[in-house]
Amino acid sequence: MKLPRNETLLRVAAIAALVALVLMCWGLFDPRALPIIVSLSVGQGIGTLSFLLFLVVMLRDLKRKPPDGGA
Amino acid sequence: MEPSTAFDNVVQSPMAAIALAFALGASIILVWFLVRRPKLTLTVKIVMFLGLGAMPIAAALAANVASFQTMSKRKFCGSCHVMTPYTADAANPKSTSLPALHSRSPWFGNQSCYTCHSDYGMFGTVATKMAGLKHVWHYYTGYRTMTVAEALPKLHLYKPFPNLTCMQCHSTSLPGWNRVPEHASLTAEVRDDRVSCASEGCHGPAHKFSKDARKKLAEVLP
Repeated sequence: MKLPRNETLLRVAAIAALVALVLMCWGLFDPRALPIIVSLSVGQGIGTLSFLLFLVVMLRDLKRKPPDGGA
Repeated sequence: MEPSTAFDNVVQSPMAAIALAFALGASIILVWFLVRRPKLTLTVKIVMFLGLGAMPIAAALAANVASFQTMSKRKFCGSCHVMTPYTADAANPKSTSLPALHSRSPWFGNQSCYTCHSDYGMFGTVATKMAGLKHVWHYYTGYRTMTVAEALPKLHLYKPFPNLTCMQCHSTSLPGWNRVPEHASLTAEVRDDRVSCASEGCHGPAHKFSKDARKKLAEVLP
């Protein structure tokens, strides 16, 4: 499977992280059982996924062939 | 003072405020990245590491601590409607029930449910959290649609209330405790959980109204 371009992946990661942050904050503003469980599980799960996407981009970037004339 | 609005919860909990600050910082970076669409230079990568990694992780850690603190509060226990008679009695300044008396403690009064119903020992916190998840499961799969009157006779502890919980504060070894004749004659039984501190005739039942509701149901049922 071919992954999208780095820029696209980072944009997806950024959107996912924003969703994760909103969910994580939901539990702080609405301290009931369900919001807290959602924020600690779904919110942090999506957040982890977005960070993994960022790491994928960084790894791909590191593996990339250096441009001609590079060291 | 108990939090009364969503913002009060954040203002009164430093960890919640820290979590919110990190989340806000990360959001600013992420929105900037989405709107400006900058080239992936080294500086942008470092900034994105902050926005996607460091700051959200810090926010999540602070939110975990804040949530743990919130979940220990009596107000949180009362957020499930079937628990409101219990939390209302505990908060009632005129009540002389065991929970109400303990809820007036300046040390753990606003966390009285958690203090008396959490497991102790090495894995006590984990066991308490697992039991808490079980409560949430039962609430959303059953009790949520019941009225308080319907739920009260059905609510029960998973296992008998252990005296060890009481003995976290009442050691059963001080002279004042032993001066009570009933205590002195039952010390061994109390320490071995053969006689419950919260049994009828001693200091219980702790939540009398719930036992009365169960008795009423038993009388109605054939």
